[in-house]
Amino acid sequence: MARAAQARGAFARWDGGAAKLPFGVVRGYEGNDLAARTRVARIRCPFTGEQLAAVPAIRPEVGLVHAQQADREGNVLLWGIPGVQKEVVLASRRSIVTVEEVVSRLEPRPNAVFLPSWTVTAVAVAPRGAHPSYAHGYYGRDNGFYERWDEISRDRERFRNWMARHVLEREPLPV
Amino acid sequence: MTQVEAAAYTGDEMMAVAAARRLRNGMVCFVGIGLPSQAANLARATHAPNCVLVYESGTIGAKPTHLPLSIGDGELAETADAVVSVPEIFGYWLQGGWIDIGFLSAAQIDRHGNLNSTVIGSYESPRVRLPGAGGAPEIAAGCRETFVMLRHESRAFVEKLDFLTTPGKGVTCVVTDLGVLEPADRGELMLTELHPGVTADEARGATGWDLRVSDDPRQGKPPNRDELAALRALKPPNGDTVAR
Repeated sequence: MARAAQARGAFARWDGGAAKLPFGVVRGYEGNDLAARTRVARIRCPFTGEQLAAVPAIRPEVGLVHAQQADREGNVLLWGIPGVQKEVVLASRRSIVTVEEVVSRLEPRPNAVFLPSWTVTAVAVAPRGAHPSYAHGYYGRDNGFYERWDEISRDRERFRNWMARHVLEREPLPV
Repeated sequence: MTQVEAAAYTGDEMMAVAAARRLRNGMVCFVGIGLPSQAANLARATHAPNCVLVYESGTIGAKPTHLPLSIGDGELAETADAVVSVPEIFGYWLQGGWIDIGFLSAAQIDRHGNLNSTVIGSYESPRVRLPGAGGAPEIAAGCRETFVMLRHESRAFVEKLDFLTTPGKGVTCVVTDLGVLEPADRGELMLTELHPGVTADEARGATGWDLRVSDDPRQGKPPNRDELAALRALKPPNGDTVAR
Protein backbone atom coordinates (compact mmCIF):
# COMPACT_ATOMS: atom_id res chain seq x y z
CA MET A 1 0.00 0.00 0.00
CA ALA A 2 1.22 3.43 -0.90
CA ARG A 3 1.48 4.89 2.56
CA ALA A 4 4.10 7.49 1.69
CA ALA A 5 1.88 8.99 -0.95
CA GLN A 6 -0.88 9.67 1.56
CA ALA A 7 0.71 13.00 2.37
CA ARG A 8 -0.73 14.77 -0.65
CA GLY A 9 -4.36 13.83 -0.80
CA ALA A 10 -3.46 10.29 -1.80
CA PHE A 11 -7.04 9.09 -1.57
CA ALA A 12 -7.93 11.45 -4.39
CA ARG A 13 -4.77 10.56 -6.32
CA TRP A 14 -5.73 6.86 -6.33
CA ASP A 15 -9.34 7.70 -7.05
CA GLY A 16 -8.23 9.73 -10.06
CA GLY A 17 -5.84 6.99 -11.13
CA ALA A 18 -8.47 4.25 -11.03
CA ALA A 19 -10.88 6.48 -12.97
CA LYS A 20 -8.08 7.21 -15.50
CA LEU A 21 -8.47 10.92 -14.87
CA PRO A 22 -5.41 13.18 -14.84
CA PHE A 23 -6.02 14.49 -11.34
CA GLY A 24 -8.07 14.19 -8.18
CA VAL A 25 -9.72 17.01 -6.25
CA VAL A 26 -9.44 17.78 -2.55
CA ARG A 27 -10.73 20.59 -0.42
CA GLY A 28 -8.25 22.62 1.59
CA TYR A 29 -4.49 22.35 1.28
CA GLU A 30 -4.04 26.00 2.04
CA GLY A 31 -1.80 27.59 4.61
CA ASN A 32 0.81 24.85 4.84
CA ASP A 33 4.37 24.36 3.56
CA LEU A 34 3.49 21.15 1.74
CA ALA A 35 2.03 22.93 -1.27
CA ALA A 36 5.49 24.26 -2.19
CA ARG A 37 7.09 20.83 -1.82
CA THR A 38 4.56 18.59 -3.48
CA ARG A 39 2.50 18.68 -6.62
CA VAL A 40 -0.63 20.47 -5.56
CA ALA A 41 -2.34 23.05 -7.80
CA ARG A 42 -5.05 25.50 -6.90
CA ILE A 43 -8.12 25.20 -9.07
CA ARG A 44 -11.48 26.92 -9.15
CA CYS A 45 -14.69 24.96 -9.48
CA PRO A 46 -16.22 25.94 -12.86
CA PHE A 47 -19.73 25.63 -11.39
CA THR A 48 -19.53 27.22 -7.95
CA GLY A 49 -16.25 29.14 -8.02
CA GLU A 50 -15.01 27.34 -4.91
CA GLN A 51 -11.23 27.22 -4.52
CA LEU A 52 -10.02 23.64 -4.44
CA ALA A 53 -6.77 21.75 -4.78
CA ALA A 54 -5.88 19.39 -7.62
CA VAL A 55 -3.48 16.53 -6.98
CA PRO A 56 -2.01 14.46 -9.83
CA ALA A 57 -3.51 11.02 -10.33
CA ILE A 58 -1.29 8.03 -9.63
CA ARG A 59 -0.99 5.87 -12.76
CA PRO A 60 1.69 3.26 -12.06
CA GLU A 61 3.42 1.17 -14.70
CA VAL A 62 2.97 -1.84 -12.47
CA GLY A 63 0.80 -2.31 -9.41
CA LEU A 64 1.44 -5.06 -6.88
CA VAL A 65 -1.06 -6.11 -4.25
CA HIS A 66 -1.66 -9.13 -2.09
CA ALA A 67 -5.03 -10.88 -1.78
CA GLN A 68 -6.42 -14.00 -0.17
CA GLN A 69 -7.61 -16.01 -3.15
CA ALA A 70 -7.64 -16.40 -6.90
CA ASP A 71 -9.39 -19.01 -8.98
CA ARG A 72 -7.88 -20.86 -11.95
CA GLU A 73 -9.22 -18.26 -14.37
CA GLY A 74 -7.26 -15.55 -12.53
CA ASN A 75 -10.18 -13.83 -10.82
CA VAL A 76 -9.11 -12.39 -7.47
CA LEU A 77 -11.02 -12.06 -4.19
CA LEU A 78 -9.85 -10.08 -1.18
CA TRP A 79 -11.67 -9.17 1.98
CA GLY A 80 -11.11 -7.48 5.32
CA ILE A 81 -9.73 -3.94 5.14
CA PRO A 82 -9.60 -3.08 1.43
CA GLY A 83 -7.26 -0.06 1.69
CA VAL A 84 -6.45 1.06 -1.86
CA GLN A 85 -5.91 -2.43 -3.30
CA LYS A 86 -8.66 -2.16 -5.90
CA GLU A 87 -7.57 1.32 -6.90
CA VAL A 88 -3.93 0.19 -7.28
CA VAL A 89 -4.91 -2.60 -9.68
CA LEU A 90 -7.32 -0.49 -11.73
CA ALA A 91 -4.97 2.52 -11.87
CA SER A 92 -1.93 0.51 -12.99
CA ARG A 93 -1.09 -0.32 -16.59
CA ARG A 94 -0.16 -3.85 -15.50
CA SER A 95 -0.77 -5.56 -12.19
CA ILE A 96 0.57 -8.50 -10.27
CA VAL A 97 -1.57 -9.96 -7.52
CA THR A 98 0.02 -12.37 -5.06
CA VAL A 99 -2.46 -14.64 -3.31
CA GLU A 100 -2.52 -16.96 -0.34
CA GLU A 101 -3.99 -19.76 -2.43
CA VAL A 102 -5.71 -20.72 -5.64
CA VAL A 103 -9.15 -22.18 -5.08
CA SER A 104 -11.43 -24.02 -7.48
CA ARG A 105 -14.30 -21.68 -6.74
CA LEU A 106 -14.36 -18.18 -5.19
CA GLU A 107 -17.16 -18.01 -2.63
CA PRO A 108 -19.02 -14.70 -3.05
CA ARG A 109 -18.74 -12.53 0.07
CA PRO A 110 -20.71 -9.34 0.66
CA ASN A 111 -18.49 -6.27 0.44
CA ALA A 112 -15.45 -8.23 -0.68
CA VAL A 113 -13.26 -6.76 -3.40
CA PHE A 114 -13.56 -8.82 -6.57
CA LEU A 115 -11.05 -8.17 -9.34
CA PRO A 116 -12.05 -9.91 -12.58
CA SER A 117 -9.27 -11.75 -14.38
CA TRP A 118 -9.34 -9.20 -17.21
CA THR A 119 -8.15 -6.46 -14.80
CA VAL A 120 -5.22 -8.50 -13.50
CA THR A 121 -2.09 -9.14 -15.56
CA ALA A 122 -0.61 -11.92 -13.47
CA VAL A 123 -1.39 -13.91 -10.36
CA ALA A 124 1.38 -15.45 -8.28
CA VAL A 125 0.82 -17.86 -5.41
CA ALA A 126 2.68 -16.57 -2.37
CA PRO A 127 1.49 -18.19 0.85
CA ARG A 128 2.13 -15.89 3.82
CA GLY A 129 2.84 -13.17 1.29
CA ALA A 130 1.51 -10.49 3.62
CA HIS A 131 4.11 -11.25 6.30
CA PRO A 132 4.99 -9.52 8.58
CA SER A 133 1.49 -8.13 8.25
CA TYR A 134 -1.54 -10.40 8.26
CA ALA A 135 -4.01 -11.86 5.80
CA HIS A 136 -7.57 -11.70 7.09
CA GLY A 137 -8.89 -15.21 7.66
CA TYR A 138 -5.47 -16.83 7.10
CA TYR A 139 -2.98 -15.71 9.76
CA GLY A 140 -2.33 -12.90 12.21
CA ARG A 141 0.27 -10.20 12.16
CA ASP A 142 3.80 -10.91 13.40
CA ASN A 143 3.97 -8.04 15.88
CA GLY A 144 7.33 -9.19 17.17
CA PHE A 145 8.80 -8.72 13.72
CA TYR A 146 7.63 -5.10 13.62
CA GLU A 147 9.29 -4.46 16.96
CA ARG A 148 12.54 -6.03 15.72
CA TRP A 149 12.25 -4.06 12.49
CA ASP A 150 12.41 -0.78 14.42
CA GLU A 151 15.92 -1.76 15.48
CA ILE A 152 16.95 -3.21 12.12
CA SER A 153 15.79 -0.22 10.11
CA ARG A 154 17.46 2.26 12.45
CA ASP A 155 20.93 1.01 11.62
CA ARG A 156 22.17 1.15 8.02
CA GLU A 157 24.50 -1.85 8.37
CA ARG A 158 21.93 -4.06 10.04
CA PHE A 159 19.39 -3.07 7.43
CA ARG A 160 21.74 -4.01 4.58
CA ASN A 161 22.60 -7.32 6.18
CA TRP A 162 18.96 -8.13 6.69
CA MET A 163 18.09 -7.22 3.09
CA ALA A 164 20.99 -9.31 1.75
CA ARG A 165 20.03 -12.36 3.76
CA HIS A 166 16.26 -12.25 3.36
CA VAL A 167 15.72 -10.58 -0.01
CA LEU A 168 18.67 -9.89 -2.32
CA GLU A 169 20.51 -13.20 -1.99
CA ARG A 170 17.45 -15.41 -1.81
CA GLU A 171 16.96 -17.93 -4.56
CA PRO A 172 13.56 -17.91 -6.25
CA LEU A 173 11.30 -20.51 -4.71
CA PRO A 174 10.79 -23.64 -6.83
CA VAL A 175 7.66 -23.42 -8.94
CA MET B 1 -15.42 7.28 43.02
CA THR B 2 -12.19 7.54 44.95
CA GLN B 3 -9.30 9.48 43.54
CA VAL B 4 -6.00 7.71 43.43
CA GLU B 5 -2.71 9.11 44.67
CA ALA B 6 -0.74 11.45 42.43
CA ALA B 7 2.03 8.97 41.75
CA ALA B 8 -0.34 6.14 40.88
CA TYR B 9 -0.67 7.02 37.21
CA THR B 10 1.59 8.13 34.38
CA GLY B 11 1.62 11.35 32.38
CA ASP B 12 0.37 9.46 29.34
CA GLU B 13 -2.53 8.04 31.35
CA MET B 14 -3.44 11.55 32.53
CA MET B 15 -3.40 12.71 28.90
CA ALA B 16 -5.62 9.85 27.75
CA VAL B 17 -8.07 10.50 30.60
CA ALA B 18 -8.14 14.28 30.06
CA ALA B 19 -8.86 13.81 26.34
CA ALA B 20 -11.43 11.06 26.95
CA ARG B 21 -13.39 13.30 29.33
CA ARG B 22 -13.84 15.81 26.52
CA LEU B 23 -15.57 13.27 24.28
CA ARG B 24 -19.33 13.09 24.55
CA ASN B 25 -21.59 10.15 23.86
CA GLY B 26 -22.38 9.84 20.17
CA MET B 27 -19.43 11.91 18.97
CA VAL B 28 -17.79 10.60 15.82
CA CYS B 29 -14.02 10.49 16.26
CA PHE B 30 -11.28 9.97 13.67
CA VAL B 31 -8.53 8.26 15.61
CA GLY B 32 -4.98 7.13 15.03
CA ILE B 33 -2.83 4.71 16.98
CA GLY B 34 -1.36 5.66 20.35
CA LEU B 35 -2.83 8.19 22.77
CA PRO B 36 -5.81 9.17 20.58
CA SER B 37 -6.85 5.54 20.33
CA GLN B 38 -6.47 5.17 24.10
CA ALA B 39 -8.55 8.30 24.74
CA ALA B 40 -11.38 7.37 22.38
CA ASN B 41 -11.54 3.75 23.56
CA LEU B 42 -11.48 4.90 27.18
CA ALA B 43 -14.40 7.25 26.52
CA ARG B 44 -16.26 4.35 24.91
CA ALA B 45 -15.51 2.09 27.90
CA THR B 46 -16.68 4.69 30.45
CA HIS B 47 -18.99 7.67 30.02
CA ALA B 48 -19.51 7.62 26.24
CA PRO B 49 -20.42 4.07 25.18
CA ASN B 50 -21.81 5.31 21.88
CA CYS B 51 -18.74 7.28 20.92
CA VAL B 52 -18.04 6.26 17.30
CA LEU B 53 -14.48 5.32 16.44
CA VAL B 54 -13.39 5.74 12.85
CA TYR B 55 -9.89 4.58 11.93
CA GLU B 56 -8.32 5.88 8.75
CA SER B 57 -7.95 2.35 7.45
CA GLY B 58 -11.68 2.62 6.71
CA THR B 59 -13.24 0.98 9.76
CA ILE B 60 -16.32 2.89 10.86
CA GLY B 61 -17.72 2.25 14.34
CA ALA B 62 -14.89 -0.06 15.40
CA LYS B 63 -15.32 -1.56 18.87
CA PRO B 64 -12.00 -3.17 19.79
CA THR B 65 -11.70 -4.85 23.18
CA HIS B 66 -7.99 -4.06 23.28
CA LEU B 67 -6.02 -1.18 21.82
CA PRO B 68 -5.14 -1.99 18.24
CA LEU B 69 -1.44 -2.14 17.35
CA SER B 70 -2.15 -0.76 13.91
CA ILE B 71 -4.96 1.07 12.16
CA GLY B 72 -5.20 -2.01 9.97
CA ASP B 73 -5.80 -4.50 12.78
CA GLY B 74 -8.20 -7.29 11.93
CA GLU B 75 -10.17 -6.72 15.13
CA LEU B 76 -11.10 -3.22 13.94
CA ALA B 77 -12.57 -4.69 10.77
CA GLU B 78 -14.34 -7.52 12.59
CA THR B 79 -15.99 -5.22 15.16
CA ALA B 80 -16.79 -2.30 12.83
CA ASP B 81 -20.25 -1.33 11.64
CA ALA B 82 -18.78 -0.89 8.18
CA VAL B 83 -15.43 -1.27 6.47
CA VAL B 84 -14.76 0.95 3.49
CA SER B 85 -11.81 1.70 1.22
CA VAL B 86 -9.25 4.42 1.86
CA PRO B 87 -10.60 6.68 -0.92
CA GLU B 88 -14.09 6.31 0.55
CA ILE B 89 -13.13 7.03 4.17
CA PHE B 90 -11.15 10.12 3.22
CA GLY B 91 -13.48 11.24 0.45
CA TYR B 92 -17.06 10.51 1.45
CA TRP B 93 -16.72 10.43 5.21
CA LEU B 94 -13.91 12.77 6.26
CA GLN B 95 -14.03 15.36 3.49
CA GLY B 96 -17.78 14.83 3.34
CA GLY B 97 -18.04 16.38 6.79
CA TRP B 98 -19.34 13.46 8.86
CA ILE B 99 -16.61 13.45 11.50
CA ASP B 100 -16.81 15.53 14.69
CA ILE B 101 -13.36 15.21 16.22
CA GLY B 102 -10.05 14.45 14.56
CA PHE B 103 -7.06 13.60 16.74
CA LEU B 104 -3.58 14.67 15.73
CA SER B 105 -0.12 14.69 17.18
CA ALA B 106 3.12 16.16 15.84
CA ALA B 107 6.75 16.75 16.63
CA GLN B 108 6.23 20.51 16.91
CA ILE B 109 3.36 22.87 17.59
CA ASP B 110 3.33 26.67 17.58
CA ARG B 111 1.15 29.17 19.48
CA HIS B 112 -1.57 29.00 16.83
CA GLY B 113 -1.82 25.23 16.92
CA ASN B 114 -0.01 24.80 13.60
CA LEU B 115 1.68 21.42 13.46
CA ASN B 116 4.92 20.03 12.07
CA SER B 117 5.19 16.32 11.37
CA THR B 118 7.52 16.59 8.36
CA VAL B 119 11.11 17.57 9.33
CA ILE B 120 13.24 18.92 12.15
CA GLY B 121 15.85 21.26 10.70
CA SER B 122 15.73 22.46 7.10
CA TYR B 123 13.68 20.60 4.52
CA GLU B 124 16.70 20.10 2.24
CA SER B 125 19.02 18.70 4.92
CA PRO B 126 16.85 17.79 7.88
CA ARG B 127 18.29 16.79 11.24
CA VAL B 128 15.35 14.42 11.62
CA ARG B 129 13.05 13.26 8.85
CA LEU B 130 9.68 12.68 10.49
CA PRO B 131 6.93 10.32 9.29
CA GLY B 132 5.32 13.10 7.25
CA ALA B 133 1.83 14.47 6.81
CA GLY B 134 0.16 11.05 6.67
CA GLY B 135 -3.28 12.47 6.08
CA ALA B 136 -3.06 15.08 8.87
CA PRO B 137 -3.92 18.07 6.65
CA GLU B 138 -6.99 16.21 5.38
CA ILE B 139 -8.01 15.27 8.92
CA ALA B 140 -7.64 18.87 10.16
CA ALA B 141 -9.54 20.22 7.15
CA GLY B 142 -12.31 17.62 7.23
CA CYS B 143 -13.21 17.33 10.92
CA ARG B 144 -15.31 19.87 12.78
CA GLU B 145 -12.72 20.10 15.56
CA THR B 146 -9.16 18.89 16.01
CA PHE B 147 -7.80 17.65 19.33
CA VAL B 148 -4.02 17.63 19.59
CA MET B 149 -2.26 15.32 22.04
CA LEU B 150 1.38 16.12 22.64
CA ARG B 151 3.84 15.85 25.54
CA HIS B 152 4.65 19.28 26.88
CA GLU B 153 8.29 20.21 26.34
CA SER B 154 9.99 23.28 24.90
CA ARG B 155 11.49 21.42 21.93
CA ALA B 156 7.94 20.51 20.87
CA PHE B 157 6.15 23.75 21.84
CA VAL B 158 8.19 26.10 19.67
CA GLU B 159 8.20 29.78 18.76
CA LYS B 160 8.64 28.90 15.08
CA LEU B 161 7.96 25.60 13.35
CA ASP B 162 10.70 24.11 11.17
CA PHE B 163 7.95 23.15 8.71
CA LEU B 164 4.20 23.77 8.68
CA THR B 165 2.52 20.49 7.82
CA THR B 166 -0.98 21.09 9.15
CA PRO B 167 -2.64 24.46 9.79
CA GLY B 168 -4.02 24.88 13.31
CA LYS B 169 -7.26 26.52 12.27
CA GLY B 170 -9.57 23.79 13.57
CA VAL B 171 -7.67 23.01 16.78
CA THR B 172 -10.02 23.39 19.74
CA CYS B 173 -7.84 21.84 22.43
CA VAL B 174 -4.30 20.66 23.02
CA VAL B 175 -3.98 18.03 25.72
CA THR B 176 -0.49 17.70 27.18
CA ASP B 177 0.96 15.88 30.17
CA LEU B 178 0.88 19.20 32.09
CA GLY B 179 -2.57 20.52 31.22
CA VAL B 180 -4.89 21.66 28.47
CA LEU B 181 -4.51 24.58 26.07
CA GLU B 182 -7.37 26.14 24.13
CA PRO B 183 -7.40 28.85 21.49
CA ALA B 184 -8.24 32.32 22.84
CA ASP B 185 -7.99 35.72 21.13
CA ARG B 186 -6.92 35.53 17.47
CA GLY B 187 -6.54 31.78 17.87
CA GLU B 188 -3.53 31.96 20.19
CA LEU B 189 -3.35 28.94 22.47
CA MET B 190 -3.87 29.70 26.14
CA LEU B 191 -3.34 27.36 29.08
CA THR B 192 -6.79 26.89 30.58
CA GLU B 193 -6.40 23.76 32.70
CA LEU B 194 -3.60 22.26 34.79
CA HIS B 195 -3.31 18.60 35.68
CA PRO B 196 -3.04 17.79 39.41
CA GLY B 197 0.23 18.91 40.97
CA VAL B 198 1.33 21.00 37.97
CA THR B 199 1.96 24.74 38.23
CA ALA B 200 1.49 27.36 35.54
CA ASP B 201 5.21 28.15 35.79
CA GLU B 202 6.07 24.56 34.96
CA ALA B 203 3.92 24.81 31.84
CA ARG B 204 5.51 28.16 30.92
CA GLY B 205 8.96 26.64 31.37
CA ALA B 206 8.08 23.77 29.04
CA THR B 207 6.81 26.10 26.32
CA GLY B 208 9.12 27.71 23.77
CA TRP B 209 7.01 30.84 23.44
CA ASP B 210 5.67 33.26 26.05
CA LEU B 211 2.70 31.11 27.07
CA ARG B 212 -0.51 32.87 27.98
CA VAL B 213 -2.28 31.45 31.01
CA SER B 214 -5.95 32.06 31.75
CA ASP B 215 -6.73 34.12 34.88
CA ASP B 216 -7.77 31.18 36.94
CA PRO B 217 -6.80 27.95 35.18
CA ARG B 218 -9.03 25.02 36.04
CA GLN B 219 -7.52 22.36 38.26
CA GLY B 220 -7.96 19.06 36.48
CA LYS B 221 -9.00 16.02 38.44
CA PRO B 222 -6.68 13.02 38.55
CA PRO B 223 -7.82 9.83 36.86
CA ASN B 224 -10.32 8.04 39.09
CA ARG B 225 -10.20 4.32 39.77
CA ASP B 226 -12.78 3.45 37.14
CA GLU B 227 -10.98 5.41 34.46
CA LEU B 228 -7.61 3.87 35.30
CA ALA B 229 -9.02 0.37 35.46
CA ALA B 230 -10.77 0.78 32.11
CA LEU B 231 -7.68 2.30 30.51
CA ARG B 232 -5.38 -0.44 31.75
CA ALA B 233 -7.80 -3.14 30.72
CA LEU B 234 -7.48 -1.86 27.15
CA LYS B 235 -3.76 -2.57 26.99
CA PRO B 236 -3.01 -5.43 24.62
CA PRO B 237 -1.98 -8.59 26.46
CA ASN B 238 1.40 -8.76 24.71
CA GLY B 239 2.87 -5.44 25.74
CA ASP B 240 2.85 -1.86 24.64
CA THR B 241 1.15 -0.36 21.65
CA VAL B 242 3.26 0.14 18.57
CA ALA B 243 2.26 2.71 16.00
CA ARG B 244 2.10 1.40 12.45
